[in-house]
Amino acid sequence: MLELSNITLGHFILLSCVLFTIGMVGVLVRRNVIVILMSIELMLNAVNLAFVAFSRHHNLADGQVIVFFVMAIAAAEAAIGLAIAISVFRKFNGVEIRLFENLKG
Amino acid sequence: MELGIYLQDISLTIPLMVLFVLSLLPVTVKIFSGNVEQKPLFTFLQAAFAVILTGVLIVLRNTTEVVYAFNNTIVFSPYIKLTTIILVLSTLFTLFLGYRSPSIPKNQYSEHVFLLLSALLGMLVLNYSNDLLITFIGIELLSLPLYVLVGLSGNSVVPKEASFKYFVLGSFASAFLLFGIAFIFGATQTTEITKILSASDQVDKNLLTIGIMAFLVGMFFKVALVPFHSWLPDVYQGSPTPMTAFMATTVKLVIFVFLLGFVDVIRLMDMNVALYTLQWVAILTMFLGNMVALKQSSLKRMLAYSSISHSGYLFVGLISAVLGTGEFSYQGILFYLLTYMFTIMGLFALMCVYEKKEGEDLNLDTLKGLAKDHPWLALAMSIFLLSLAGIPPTGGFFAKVFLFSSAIQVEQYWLVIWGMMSSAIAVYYYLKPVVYMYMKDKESSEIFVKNESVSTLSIVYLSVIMVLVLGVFSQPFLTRILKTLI
Repeated sequence: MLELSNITLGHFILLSCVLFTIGMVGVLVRRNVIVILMSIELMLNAVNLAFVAFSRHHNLADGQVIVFFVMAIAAAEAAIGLAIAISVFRKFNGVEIRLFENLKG
Repeated sequence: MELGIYLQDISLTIPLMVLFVLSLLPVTVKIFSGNVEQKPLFTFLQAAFAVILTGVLIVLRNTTEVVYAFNNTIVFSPYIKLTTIILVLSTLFTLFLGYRSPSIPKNQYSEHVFLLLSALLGMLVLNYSNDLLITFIGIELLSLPLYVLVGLSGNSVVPKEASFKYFVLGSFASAFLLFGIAFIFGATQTTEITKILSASDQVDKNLLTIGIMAFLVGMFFKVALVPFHSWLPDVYQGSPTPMTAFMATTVKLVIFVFLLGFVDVIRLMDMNVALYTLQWVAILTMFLGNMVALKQSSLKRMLAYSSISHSGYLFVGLISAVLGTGEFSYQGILFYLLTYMFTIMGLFALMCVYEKKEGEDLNLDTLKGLAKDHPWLALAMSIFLLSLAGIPPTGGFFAKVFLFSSAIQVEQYWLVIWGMMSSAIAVYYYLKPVVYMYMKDKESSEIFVKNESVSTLSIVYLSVIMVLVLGVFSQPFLTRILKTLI
């Protein structure tokens, strides 16, 4: 059984990297606007995890303070992303990436 | 650690606070008058007042040395003062372009102005930053209003699409940026740029390298270096023309200026491997931008690709800064950004002149025979295009000369040769509109209609004069720039 004391910085960073990659792949392959927004949030939160882990490892509060800033910015980003998604929905009658074909070349 | 806030800290950031408070003025007036838009002229004057006041406050601040504030998170120096003034100036120009522009909805003009000033505020924060957290906040504060500004339009669907694409790729880049910051913090236990350098001796090099790489990837996305450029043509083409001008000038400027301050940290990577990658990024960016621009018929899209290749030239300057030419490449990059600012601003202002309704795109065919109807504007456009191509009497020529000679100083001969070749290719598509304007006849007998907006036309002529002045009398500007670098 895995005990709490066996969990080192490496585990946290690995988890954070895995979550970040899942988010990244999500942005790249998913076709729904809302899911893309969720994936971006996942990436930001993966980074938050890394900040907290590093902060705990170094016994510094700085990383945890940064996380609050990031959370605030992520909230602003989500608000703007959803607002854009709504305006896209009104114009295109859908939130699928495949609708976006006006601009290419 | 000291946590006090001193009077000199406040006095350093007064321009930013003034800008923030005054940026709220137009929207506040709108809300208190029952959500009815006030006269565009009043909104315009309020915004112009805010920008000019910020500029004056920055100009009035005397600095002869580097000053830190807020526990070293913010820095101010003559060099930052100069770049800030350029940023404020180009925002002022954008305000002039946006005033009564058909591509900006009349009933949302005060929101437009508010977002524009917020974006300027973000750029100033980014420019002042000496801490990666402040850098990130600055970048977000500049990007978030831009996403909305791109999509702020009337009935057209294209800007919405551009806005969403910009948002997704922009946030993607921000996440990378933040990932990089997390790892840099993990390795050096600090996010302060000057402290990262002093802490770098006894740290985990691998962790630091991952951090710097991810951070640079984020930055490369923002300035659209190949292979992270795919969003730029769509966004530039889809957004309202004044906004394209704003993005093409200021965002590029502020990020390259930031990266110039960041070169010492970039140098912490294993340079044997990293240099190779950076060189390839520069070469690919210069070539891909120019090659794809060759076959574009929409003028806006062509300029978007050309803007990618200009990022490549600037990146050559940045590589020479990383290799340690010091002042010389700083000077080159700043001069390049200054001429590029005036050229692009003027060119997009010209496109605004011919924009009668929203979403109308100027393409090569519509330029046919322009020189007969409007000889002065055609001449102005030719001068801008020649400056972009880098042909002698204009500022663009000297800008390229300074940039490439800084690369020669650090013996990057191949990079310079690639750069020269790519700019030779570029001459073809820069001259194509000139040929269309002067040598082809109109297909229909329609007369060119220009919108008689004095504000836009004044930007066109001012930019022409500046491009020529920067070309003919480049020396005073260079000495001025050199004086700011201590």
